[in-house]
Amino acid sequence: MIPELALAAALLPAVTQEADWKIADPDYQWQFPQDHWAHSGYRTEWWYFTGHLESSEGRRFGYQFTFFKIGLLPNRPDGASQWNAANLVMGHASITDPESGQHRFSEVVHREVPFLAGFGTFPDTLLAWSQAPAGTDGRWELSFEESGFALDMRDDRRGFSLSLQTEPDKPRIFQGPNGFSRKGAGESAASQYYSYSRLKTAGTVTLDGVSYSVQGTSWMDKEFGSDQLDDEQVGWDWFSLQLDDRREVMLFSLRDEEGEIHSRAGTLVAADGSVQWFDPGNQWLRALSSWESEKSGVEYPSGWRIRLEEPGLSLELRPVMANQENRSSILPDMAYWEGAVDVFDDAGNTIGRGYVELTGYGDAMRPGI
Amino acid sequence: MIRLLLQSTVRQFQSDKLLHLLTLLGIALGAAAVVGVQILHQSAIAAFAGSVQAVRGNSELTVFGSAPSFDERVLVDVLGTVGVESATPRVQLSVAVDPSSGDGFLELAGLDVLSLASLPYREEFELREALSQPGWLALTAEGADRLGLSLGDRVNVSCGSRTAELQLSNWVELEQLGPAASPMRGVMDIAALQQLLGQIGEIHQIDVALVEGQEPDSVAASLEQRLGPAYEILTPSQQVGQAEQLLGAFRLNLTALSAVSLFVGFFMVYTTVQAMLVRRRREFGVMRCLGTTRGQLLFLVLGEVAILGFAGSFLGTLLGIGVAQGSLADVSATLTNLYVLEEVRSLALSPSLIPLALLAGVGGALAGAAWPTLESLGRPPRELLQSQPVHERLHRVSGLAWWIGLVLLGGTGVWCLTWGRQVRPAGFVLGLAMLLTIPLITPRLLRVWKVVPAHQFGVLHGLRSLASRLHGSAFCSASLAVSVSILVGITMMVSSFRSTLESWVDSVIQADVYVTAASYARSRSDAILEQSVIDELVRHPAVREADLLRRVDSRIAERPVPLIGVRMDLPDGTRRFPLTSGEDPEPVYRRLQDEQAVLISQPLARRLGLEDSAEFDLPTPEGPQSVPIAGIYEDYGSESGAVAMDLTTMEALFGEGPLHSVSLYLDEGTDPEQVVTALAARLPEVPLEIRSNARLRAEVFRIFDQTFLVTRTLQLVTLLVAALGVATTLLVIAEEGRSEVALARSLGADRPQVFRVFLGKGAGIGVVGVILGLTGGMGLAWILVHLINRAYFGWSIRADWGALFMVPEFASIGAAVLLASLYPAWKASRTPAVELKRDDS
Repeated sequence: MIPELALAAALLPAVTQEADWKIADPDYQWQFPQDHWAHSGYRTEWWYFTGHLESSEGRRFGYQFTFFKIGLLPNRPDGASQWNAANLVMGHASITDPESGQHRFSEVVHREVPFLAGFGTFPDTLLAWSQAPAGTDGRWELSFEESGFALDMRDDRRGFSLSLQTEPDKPRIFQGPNGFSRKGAGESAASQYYSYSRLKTAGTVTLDGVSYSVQGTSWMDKEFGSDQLDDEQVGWDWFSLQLDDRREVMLFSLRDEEGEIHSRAGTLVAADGSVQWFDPGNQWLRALSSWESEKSGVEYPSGWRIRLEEPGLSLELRPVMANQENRSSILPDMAYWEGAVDVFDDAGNTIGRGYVELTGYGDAMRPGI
Repeated sequence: MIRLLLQSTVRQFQSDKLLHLLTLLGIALGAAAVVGVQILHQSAIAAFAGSVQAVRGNSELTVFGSAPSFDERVLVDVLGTVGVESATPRVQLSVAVDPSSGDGFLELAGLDVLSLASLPYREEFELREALSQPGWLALTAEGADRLGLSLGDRVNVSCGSRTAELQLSNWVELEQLGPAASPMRGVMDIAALQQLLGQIGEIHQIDVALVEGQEPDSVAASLEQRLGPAYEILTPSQQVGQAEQLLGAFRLNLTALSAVSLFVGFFMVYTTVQAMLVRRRREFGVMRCLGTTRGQLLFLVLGEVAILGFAGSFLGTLLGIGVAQGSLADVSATLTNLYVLEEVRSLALSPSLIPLALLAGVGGALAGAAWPTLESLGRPPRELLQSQPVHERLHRVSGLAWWIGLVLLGGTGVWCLTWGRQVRPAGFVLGLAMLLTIPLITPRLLRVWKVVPAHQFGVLHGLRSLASRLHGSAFCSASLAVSVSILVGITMMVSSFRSTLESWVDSVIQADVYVTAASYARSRSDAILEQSVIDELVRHPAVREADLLRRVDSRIAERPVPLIGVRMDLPDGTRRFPLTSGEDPEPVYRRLQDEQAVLISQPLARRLGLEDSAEFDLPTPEGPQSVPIAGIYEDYGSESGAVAMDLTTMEALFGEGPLHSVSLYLDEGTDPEQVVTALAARLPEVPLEIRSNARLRAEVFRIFDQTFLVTRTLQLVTLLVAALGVATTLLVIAEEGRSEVALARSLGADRPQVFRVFLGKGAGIGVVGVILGLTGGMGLAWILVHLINRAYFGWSIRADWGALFMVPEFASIGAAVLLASLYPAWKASRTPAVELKRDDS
């Protein structure tokens, strides 16, 4: 077996359900703020931040910051060695700078070892942390205090850092009834899923040693579950849109190898924070063009027309720049597109901004869930 | 011209097949010795490089601690250093395989998730299984085969007094990554290896991959600055370089010895070419008269020799491979015993051997042929057509050569003892001068046979005739003398070394019973004896006193140096570290306890020039610390040196630590062997090596003798070449003297008489060769003992001249010379009287 495949096999979710893992439960008893912290026994969990920032000089940035908990074993093995760990900690961060046309991606992967990476426990403020990528001193951290989430990352080699504080501008919402988000027909094919669809964000972005004081809006997703995809599902298209009229839309569909949609879901958050879950149907999404990555060779759709009959929305999404691909150097085959988009109405007027995630295209490996 | 050369070569070969075959064999053996030694060295280095390569991935630097293991949290500092692309921690342990599951040692690497997952496995790799299944182990397929393990089988291993049951769960194809590495190798999860063998919180190295375009030197400098002096950052080639440096003296000695075989082979070529020139002088004279230029003739003769050399190189390479293969197991055992290096499993044959074999074979043959060819073909054609033997010149220059030899040897000797004292290879220079002097003084010495009264045509006549026919006999005697010198010199050195070791062992090995973990031979300071085990050992009712040993493996001046902590307050324990100064040990031992002073071994003192120093910098986890030197002790355990101190001093310098060995002193009259059996029965589950005093001594000398096995093989090759030389020379003499023999036969000499004459010649050559060789050998032994050993190993060896009574060696030389004389003597005695020519009358 070639090494990359072995690695991929190790990090991709098992295709069969293992009895030891907890699975998403429609009747899950939520407890906040405790549920912001990591949940043991689930194979995957993530804290996903995306957002749009603007510097005091008017320079625009898009960003992503994510911590993944990837379960290796349901429970930490017994033993005195610090290397005994139940999880891997994986962190991804990216910055999109339309002015320079650059998209930078940084990552960390460590075993959950006390001096390398880990997850905090309530009531400590720390949610997740990791040593910074090799070549950079310090740590990546995500913490939660009463006022909101704070995130810090730095990658000296790739020349960027984020230090942002967020504060909910709208209340937390569940994605699906009681935060139960079904992804497929299988018993485990679901996740516990909630979001902050609008977070006021302020802080500092540093690019190549130049610091920018920034403000903007973020979207936070938190999901956890085990073996959330059905066997035939190879990837997903996920959209988080923040409209200027203070409504937000979340949409996703899961595809098989032929590109057929197997599962999809949508959530509309009204300006007052009320939530409507809907089935966007099979024809809701149409790609307008495509973009091929020179580096990975993967061809992604680029630009979309979205028609949602139930909430009555017709939108066009255009990437702020084509190349917003995240390519892993630690897991050489892993690549996905995670990018900032602008939202237009049928008349071509800008009516909002959003973030799009595209995984499972070409031969690229997706982050394991 | 080329065609003519080939035809001429074939014709020459056919004209005297035996002579050419002997010469070919001589060249081949010389080349074989050189090539064999080189192959062995390359194989050892390749095995080490393979082990460096096997699980390092794409790392370009490796972080080591000054001690074998260090705090795993150092990884954070390494990760934070600019230029680092990735940093992979590794636990690396040699574990002893339980005899019930197999035998020997396994090298186990404990790796983190990403490194573990990225290795090539034969079966599908299940990360979760590797992390969760107790004792999960992946071995190389060959290693598993050697232990007789199939997938799912369990194997018991130990490191120190801890044991673990591992389960073969996959085959890892490390041979793809480091083909020459030992197959006794496996990988495990880092946590499992730390836990099973009690190395919590400790790792042995960090493999560092660099960001593309980063210079290893600059990142290494940043790491050095950040981690401080307790860490060493090495590139893979520097790691291999360290191993090469470690083996430097070992290699140099074998190379020098192999070069001597070549040197002896060189004399054989000389003799053969000389004979060929004598036989063909008329032919060359005629060719010159017919217009062949001197250059063309030179090309012809040297071309023939080169073809012979080429064939010798080819044959020598094959023989060299055979010699190396035959010695592989012994060399491998020596390297693992003495230098704790990798097992050498297979020969590493590289293309660089071809030029080496050609240089040895063709170069050696041409060098041997050059002088007689130039000398002979430089004569005018008229002289070539005359019957005057060309060798008579040697007669005339033998006096000059004698003086040149003496001046060369004397001058080099004076240089060695004065200005050359500071030059490390001075001993080799003097040795070479001695070996060069031997052939220079041999012709003059052979002339002593002139005084032998020879009234009858027999042995004495043969002896006397040597004085008048110097050319072949001188070279033959010289080559024999050189071989005997080597034989005598090395045998005396080894014998002196052994007797020195005997008296040292008498002094040092004083306890009645010695206990270490079974894995101590390979894993050294990782082989920890748990306190409960020590308590149980010491509790035996016959134990009167127990000495405890703690070992910290360190690096001083780029070489591994063991630091030994023992009880310096042990009653009557002062002989364990015999002081070189011969002073009263009591005050010295008191300083060891009261002033935290240390003893340093003689090789270390010499290597660092500390003979007259009062203190030196000892590397500790806190960085170098200056410690007082209480004295210098004799030690033959480590050529890189060692440092001994009291256990309390070690604790002060290195913190608390585990123990590695226990020496038990028993009540008077107790049978140690019975106690050994009783202790083994008390701790049946603990993998211990419990040896009585007598068994430990036997083990020391077994390792010593094994170390010199290769030396003895090379000695044998040299002797064989010398014997071939005797045979060649006598054949040449027989060939050249056919007319002379025919004349004698026509005058009434019978065949037995001729046979005796030639035996006499053989005896004459042999006696001079052996006497000269014996003298030279004693000189060489002195050089080896006092100069070379001292310079390269730092050891003091007391010369044991009792080794002169080397009956078996002399018997073998005598037998070799006698055997070598028989056939030529027989052949000469077959010469019919009709061979008499007008020209010879």
